[in-house]
Amino acid sequence: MFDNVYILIPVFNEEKKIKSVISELSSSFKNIVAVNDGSTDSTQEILESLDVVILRHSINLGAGAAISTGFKFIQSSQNAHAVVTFDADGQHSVEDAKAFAREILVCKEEIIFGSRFIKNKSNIPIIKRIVLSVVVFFTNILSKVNLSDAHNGLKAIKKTTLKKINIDIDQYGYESQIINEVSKKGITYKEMPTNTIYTEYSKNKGQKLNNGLIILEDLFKSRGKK
Amino acid sequence: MIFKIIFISIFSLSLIWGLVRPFSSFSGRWFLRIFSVVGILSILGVEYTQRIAEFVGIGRGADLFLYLSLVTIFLFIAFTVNRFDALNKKISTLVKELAILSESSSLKDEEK
Repeated sequence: MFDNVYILIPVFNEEKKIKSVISELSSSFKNIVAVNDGSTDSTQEILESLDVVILRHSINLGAGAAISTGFKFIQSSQNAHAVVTFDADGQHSVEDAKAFAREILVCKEEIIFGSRFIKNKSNIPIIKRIVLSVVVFFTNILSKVNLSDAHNGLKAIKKTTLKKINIDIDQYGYESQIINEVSKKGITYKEMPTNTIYTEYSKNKGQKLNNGLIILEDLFKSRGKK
Repeated sequence: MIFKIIFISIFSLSLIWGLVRPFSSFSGRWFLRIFSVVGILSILGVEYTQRIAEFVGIGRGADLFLYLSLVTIFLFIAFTVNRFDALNKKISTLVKELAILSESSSLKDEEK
């Protein structure tokens, strides 16, 4: 049981999945922080029935804003040593989260990025794979990093590193901003494989393919910031 | 004649506005002042704007107005988009702070 690695889940309208996702995680993680990003369904009531810390955005801002709120909260938690970010739609595996948690506590790197392209590449739908490859290509060029996946929600970050990462992009482009921050501030990183499970539900909930263009726009914007 | 009076009044008011209103933007303030003066001059006598247009190398007074209008529209759009971005950021910061504050206060209540 991990009690010093916090799980951070951004949640928006996940009434169908959130209970099972958190129930699975809570058998291995003592501290789970769910950021309800202005859900309009019964997500809030479900979260209240579970043993999790709930941070509630009164309006929907986006995944980046939810992650940013969670980071700020975890920075002030005294017993936290690291945080693992986890998607609420059930596409990540708890085994991966546990592997990330174990590794972030012992490794010298400050952040571990999840990658769908190291193993289990064939799980990714073909069009998504192409779009992701384009996004990764530009991210690597613009941010001068060497990653095989740029927009995987599963990440592990040491608590001491959280204050170095400033997220002000509210939507999905925050992932590119984290990579930018890693590059600009010389944060050490590595990648670990993740086994992402694409169900019809997670495909509908996840990023739409045309978001790839928005992500690239956000990447250029975040490059322009000091 | 009545339209002349109406337009001179509008341009005069915008000139006064540009002079007295404490605009935060220096460029915006001067843009409004110059635009109003050119507007008044163009109504009082086309030859004045014609002279200004020739002086700045734009041929016709009407073209000078057309270009100024286009620049005004583009500037207005750019400033408005920036304002919206700034406003969005403020709302976002506020919502995030509120989320953390309300959780912290509920934790304190539980400890009591």
